[in-house]
Amino acid sequence: MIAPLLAVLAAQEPLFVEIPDPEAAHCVLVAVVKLPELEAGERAAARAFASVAFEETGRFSAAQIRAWGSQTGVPPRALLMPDHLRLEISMPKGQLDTGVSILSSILREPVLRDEVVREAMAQLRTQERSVWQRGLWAWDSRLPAPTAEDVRKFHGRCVRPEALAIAVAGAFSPGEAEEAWTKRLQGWSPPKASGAFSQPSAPRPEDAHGQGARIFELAMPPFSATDAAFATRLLAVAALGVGKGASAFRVLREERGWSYRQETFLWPVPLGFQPRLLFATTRPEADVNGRAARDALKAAVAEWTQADLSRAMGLLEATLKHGIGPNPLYLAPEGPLGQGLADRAFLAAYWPLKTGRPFDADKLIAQMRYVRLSDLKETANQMLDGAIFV
Amino acid sequence: MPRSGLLQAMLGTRSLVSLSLGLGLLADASPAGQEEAPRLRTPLSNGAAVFVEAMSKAKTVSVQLIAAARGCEETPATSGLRHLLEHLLVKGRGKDLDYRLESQGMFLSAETFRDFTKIEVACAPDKLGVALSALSELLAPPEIGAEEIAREARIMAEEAALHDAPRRLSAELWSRAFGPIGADPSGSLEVVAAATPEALRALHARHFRASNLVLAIAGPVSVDAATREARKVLEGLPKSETGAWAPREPSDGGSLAVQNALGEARAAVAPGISEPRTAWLLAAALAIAGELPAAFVTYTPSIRPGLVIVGRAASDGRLSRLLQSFRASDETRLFEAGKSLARRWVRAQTDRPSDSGLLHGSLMAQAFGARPDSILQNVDAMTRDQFRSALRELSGAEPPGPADSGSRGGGGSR
Repeated sequence: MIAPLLAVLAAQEPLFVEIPDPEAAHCVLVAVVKLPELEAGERAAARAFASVAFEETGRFSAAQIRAWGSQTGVPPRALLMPDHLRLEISMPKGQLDTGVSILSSILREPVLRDEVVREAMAQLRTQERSVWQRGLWAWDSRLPAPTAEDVRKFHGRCVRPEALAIAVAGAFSPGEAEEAWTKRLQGWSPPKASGAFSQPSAPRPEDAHGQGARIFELAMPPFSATDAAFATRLLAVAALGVGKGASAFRVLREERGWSYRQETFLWPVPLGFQPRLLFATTRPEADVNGRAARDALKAAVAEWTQADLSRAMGLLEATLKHGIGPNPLYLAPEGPLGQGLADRAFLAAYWPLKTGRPFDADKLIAQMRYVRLSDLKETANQMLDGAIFV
Repeated sequence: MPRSGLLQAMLGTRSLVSLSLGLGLLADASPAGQEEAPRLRTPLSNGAAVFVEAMSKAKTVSVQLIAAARGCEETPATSGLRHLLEHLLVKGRGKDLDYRLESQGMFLSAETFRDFTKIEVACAPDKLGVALSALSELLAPPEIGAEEIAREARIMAEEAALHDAPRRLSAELWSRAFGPIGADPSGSLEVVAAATPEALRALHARHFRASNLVLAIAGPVSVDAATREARKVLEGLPKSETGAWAPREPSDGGSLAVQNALGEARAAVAPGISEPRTAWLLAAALAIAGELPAAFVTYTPSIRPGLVIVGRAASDGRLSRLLQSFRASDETRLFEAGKSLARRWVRAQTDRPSDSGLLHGSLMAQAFGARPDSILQNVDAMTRDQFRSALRELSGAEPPGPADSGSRGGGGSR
């Protein structure tokens, strides 16, 4: 892969990354919008915007966007996470400019019709999420139903050049993508929207048909994306709950038999990252709960040896460098990123926007090699001690 | 983990489909070594086989031990035993196989399908030998105790409670189409809880006998060297006869539909991976799913009859309304979309070492000559009339009424 070319055009202008790959059959355009801390009404509006972003713009109808954007067999998509919104479109070789035109039009001039927002919200309400997804996105069920006006306000407040990073990866010549984007975003300086959003409503009833499984969570204290101990924290997350050799698997599943699925991961939040440990169980809360899980895990941490550090190190090196095994960085709604062109483009845009520098797996792995067992245990204990039971 | 052939990709405002797709077919038994250049399939004298694919651009190697379910197809009395065996077997002899592998930057995963079980180790190219050694450990008769079975049965109950809507809708359709032999491979928790160590050892001997096994390797490897190493793992097994699959025929040929609080789904019986109609149904299902958010398609690659399912994990009836609203003018658009999506997904299944190894290896375990080639040809050769017939087959079932409960073609799945 050719190394990404990263350019910040100027202050207040989008961050821009090009990843040309002459062997690719198509190109992927990704726009990442960094989100601030949003209150419930704004989050609901953000979710609605993600649902309708590709419906219509000032220059393109929904049918045109669908027709242009589906030529590679991958429809355009918008993914919302707590700290960012990702808009993505894939175009055949030679049609980069059309892709830039569509995506820039979505960013600059989306048409957010009342009836389209209403329909999208109705659909979201009837979509069934898995038990795990309901736990992962627990806040989602408490969101209000936004109006089209809320969605327009969200767009005006958050979708702005200074909060934007753009990556283009795939079949194009170096410089071509940057030139096309610069042309399309020229003069974009929207006024900032203001005003209140709709208020939270009653939680959506769910699990009417469930099989009794619930998700327990240990929500650990968030830390900055530029935290000096990031490598130690990532290792602690892996040792606690990533892979089948992790303490969560060994203790909550194999020893106690409480749970089939249990994962620890870093969840992106506006402040940085939050370590979360989720486990699903059908057992009654009197026997199994977050507090009991924490106590069991703390006992396991006390027994950690150099072998546990080595396992966490081996697993993280494999996943960060080669994409082997589970990755504790949950940067997409379903979990970790994949190894495809679109996810690589996203990471190239997202990480500098989040941390101020490109993602460097080798450097991160090198930092992990200096982590001592005592530091690992201390960090894991601090994380568990600070956990909130959800 | 049991699987019924579903991989879902939720794509923001519109969702699409992905499926564990298999193509190709069982043509005639091919002689040793017949395959396109970077692939080599090698039959061994004891009935086992090796598949190796060189993928020079890949970073990782996928090593998969695939055991066909031929000779141990499940019945109501054995439903779930293969799944239980998978859970227990992958712990390895010291019950710490995953820990050992993870410490070396490798990752083990396993899945039980209706027609085969897959155990996979993903690793860097220089760890191929370690991966093969780990998988060879699983060929020996497992040491399993009654307590271990009881503990695992509890974990499997937790697993069953996590089945999502597409999984449960699909399971309902399979049961309707094929009766008890179509049951979800996760199985019956009662049967699992009553399992004995002796029964599981006997099952291991039948399921992991040489003639059911394929060792599939895909990634940046030398075809000859990897084949040589893989042969060493399997060659020591005693010879076994291939035998025949137990019949799996649908109870009748009509369309299938389910609609309930989980969502809605339609299915049609696909005759087998190499048959043109299977390709038509896949294209039609993908085209339908491409029209709706939160839609899914499932298909398990098999040489045997199975289901192509299109569904939606939402209870608003949009799938039914969409299917009822199709007009002749929509068919051109859907035809082109279906062809394009089917081609894309076929290719996606051979892009990555893990997917390609599974696709080739699972078909090969079912029948040595089965290849994932014909489906693309069948998609390319598909006419509008053929696509329309598949579209109508998937659309044909009327959505069930609320009072209708359980009969073929109608009723809820709860």
